[in-house]
Formats: sequence, C-alpha cells, structure tokens
Amino acid sequence: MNKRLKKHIDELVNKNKVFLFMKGTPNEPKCGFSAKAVSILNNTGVEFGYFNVLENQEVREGIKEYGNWPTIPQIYFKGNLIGGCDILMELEENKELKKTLELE
Amino acid sequence: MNKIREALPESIITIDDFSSKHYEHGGHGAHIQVIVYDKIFNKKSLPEQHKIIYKILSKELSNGELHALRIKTGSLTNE
Repeated sequence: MNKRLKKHIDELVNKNKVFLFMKGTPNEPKCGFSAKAVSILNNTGVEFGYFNVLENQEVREGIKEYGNWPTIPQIYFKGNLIGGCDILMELEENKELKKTLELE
Repeated sequence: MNKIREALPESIITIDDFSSKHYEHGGHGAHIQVIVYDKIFNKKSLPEQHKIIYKILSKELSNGELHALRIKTGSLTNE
C-alpha cells in the first residue's frame, strides 16, 4: 500500500473514536452486512464516523490490506480494528459491545 | 469445509450454506456460514480468530467463489 493511501486511512480511522467502513451510508446502506453494522452501532447510541467505500475504489481495496481483513464492513475503535459485522453481532449478543466501545 | 478441516484438523466445524436465500443479489457467489471451534483460538481476540478463517479461505474470497462469509469461532479446552 502506498504511503499516501495509508496516511489517508490512518486519518480516517482516527477521525472518530468509532469509525465504520461500509457500503452505502447509514441512512442508505447498500449491503445487508453494512446495514446490520449500522443498526447495531445505532442501538448502542454511540456516535460514529463512516466512509462509503462504494464512492472510492482505492479506499475500498486499501482498507482490506490496511485492516488485514478481506471484507466490508469494518469497524474501528480508537484506530484499531474490532472486526466485521459478525463480531459486532457477537459482542452485542454477549453484552460486551458497550464495554468494548467504552460506553460503560 | 475441506480446506478448514485440512488447516485445522482437530476443529469442530459446522457449515451452513444459505446461498439460495440470497437470490435477490443476482446469484453471484456462495453465502456460507462457518462455525469453527478449535484450540488454536484459545487466548486469541475475536478479530484474530476470524483472520485465521479468512486466511484459510482467502482464495475463495478473492476469486468471488465465496460472496459472503459469516464466521463464528470459539475456543476449545482439553477437558
């Protein structure tokens, strides 16, 4: 990954405490998994930033390498990858999500 | 399934294929859910656990054979 792209993604994941790379937007998700991630985050009440990877092919591919994670959505907390939709669901089911996001 | 079995010979694996429920996507690639329990996951974080599965299935994920993959992982103890 080139330095410019890495710097760009570094800035994105540190822009907000919680940051979501998704397909579409929170109001108009374009993929079921992205929609699910948004709904889980919304349920916690946390504020989060997002990036619509469908609008930027470079970031769409770059984030897979950056996170060493082959799929989207990807959820970051304080610049670190928490995981994808499945992990959010699992954390929510286990009542660990709010703790992970330091909401309690 | 076989690839996971080869990579993690002692794991307990459950695979659900729910591709047919996703015809609205236009039928590209399989939608699979894998549930894997293995000692290798002990003391690893959830993202680290999922990365192990992603790595095993990296070829299928990048060539589009697998369109959507849901993963659930858990550790196993010796007891």
